Amino acid sequence: MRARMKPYRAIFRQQLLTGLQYRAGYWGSTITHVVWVIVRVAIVGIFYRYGRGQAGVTLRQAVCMIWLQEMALNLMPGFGMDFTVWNKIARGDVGYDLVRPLDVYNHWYVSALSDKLARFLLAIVPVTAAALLARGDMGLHLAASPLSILAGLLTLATGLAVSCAVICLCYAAQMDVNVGDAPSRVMMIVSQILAGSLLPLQLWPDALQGFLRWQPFAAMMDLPLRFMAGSASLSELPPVLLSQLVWGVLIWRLGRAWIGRNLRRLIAQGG
Amino acid sequence: MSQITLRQVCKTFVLRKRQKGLLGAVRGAFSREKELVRAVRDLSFTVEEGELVGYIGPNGAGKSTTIKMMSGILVPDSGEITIMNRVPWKEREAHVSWIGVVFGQRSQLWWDTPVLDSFELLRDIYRVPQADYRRRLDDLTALLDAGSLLRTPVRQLSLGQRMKCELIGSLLHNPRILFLDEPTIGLDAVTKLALRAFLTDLNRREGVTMLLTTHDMDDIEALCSRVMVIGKGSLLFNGGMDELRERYAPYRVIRARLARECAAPDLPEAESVKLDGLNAEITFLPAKAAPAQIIARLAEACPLADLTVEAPDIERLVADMYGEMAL
Repeated sequence: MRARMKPYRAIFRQQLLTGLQYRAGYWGSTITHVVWVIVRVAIVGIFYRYGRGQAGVTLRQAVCMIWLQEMALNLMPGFGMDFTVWNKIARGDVGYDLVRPLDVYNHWYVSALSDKLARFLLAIVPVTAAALLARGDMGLHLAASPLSILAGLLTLATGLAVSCAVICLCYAAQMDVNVGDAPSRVMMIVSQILAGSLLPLQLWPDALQGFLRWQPFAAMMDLPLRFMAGSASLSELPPVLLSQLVWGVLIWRLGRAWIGRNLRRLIAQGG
Repeated sequence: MSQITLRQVCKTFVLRKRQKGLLGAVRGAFSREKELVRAVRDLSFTVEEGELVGYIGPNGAGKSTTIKMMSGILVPDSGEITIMNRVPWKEREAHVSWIGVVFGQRSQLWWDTPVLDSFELLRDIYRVPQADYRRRLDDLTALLDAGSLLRTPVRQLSLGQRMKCELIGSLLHNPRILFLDEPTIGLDAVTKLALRAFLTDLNRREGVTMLLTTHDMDDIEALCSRVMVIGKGSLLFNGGMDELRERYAPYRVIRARLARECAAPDLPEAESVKLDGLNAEITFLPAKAAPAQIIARLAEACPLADLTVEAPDIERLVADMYGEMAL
């Protein structure tokens, strides 16, 4: 098992090294995260002050969700992503990936996982520091119990497994010459929105809450972060894990079968 | 049993054609024209262990498609491919552990990090023990004089330096077969000579079987014991370089510079005689006429300032062959 995992550990290490190559890009990305939080908190604050409706969460919980989202955003498909595999598929450069003694799906899944995790780990320290330094309503107020925070971290990790399966599904769609790359791009954007990256899902209209709760992308970020922000109780942990398991397995199987089919019908012309 | 065997292999691609312009794009959304391209048709050949074989043909002839099928990347529509007793696309993971591939127009190295990081990643992907990796890397870098490149990020390497590193990367896991798809494309003369010397040495020392596609006929002449010519997906020639010459260009050319202008000499044994001022070009078949006799008769007719006897230019020969294929 240890020997079998060695190539995948090496891919993770390489992805992390790649992320550390450019200091300017790293600090630029960190500053963008913080500025984006300020803008989003200002907009949400205006809605809370002047809005007439009743939100399902308090302003402090909403601000807390926004900070946590910014920390977790790198785990989402398409956000700050390494498009190496994507570009290889688009340019017909997948040849080298197919002459490695690795399962192609696993190879790309681990590349996606490494990329997402590496970016998350690189961004988490400065963004958390900025969140803790912010004062008043702008600051991060974790009202949840340590157990809820643990539940949040656990479901965020399992949500990452779903996120990487979605990324591989996008690779599969892009490989299929009958589909092209537009559906994959749309899928990435839709998955980000439905994961609550623009607006926490609890702030969406009540009529949509049932759908939003059970669609696959909620389990990637929004549901895990609710535990940490204190807007979901621990009793919701089993259904969240079940949702992640069902969607994760479904998307994983679909992506795997699709990539397998594409490989059998692969066209790679021109040198 | 041969190390590589291809029997009656066929591969067809479906091309979807689109018409130009806005109207064409709108039409294309509803119906598209399909065209079947037969990239490889009924291709059969064998390669023995330790052979260094050149695989040539014009652009679009099916060379790269053949290499990709032998590498396990593409699945043929019909026919059999057996390499080291395995069917490449059915046992892809086991198969690729024993082969190395260099695609001259692509890169397997990580663009942003030093070369050594890519090599260590390849070491772990192929599960090469550390001691073997160290020894192999030392050997290969010494042979290619690439030691100073290892800590340089790939993006800062010249094309020649990168190609040396691509070759090292493909050989770290000690493959028994190396597929080289245009490895010398775009390289300067010095780097080409260094790569050729390296490949010859590797073939002799370790008995690595090599199949090389290239458009550079000097590569073929310098490296290959056998050459296969493919055109429109079919094998047109399979044999030694001398045999290729004998079959397609059996003539020799005497180029002479005359000391003074004179009338065209009478040389009935020559195939053709061209005289342009002080330059004479005489084509003859060695099987029909001895060169010494022709040169003696030429010297009798006109005093000579300089003279060479040349085999036909291999580039010319192959260009003629490709021209015939296009007809």
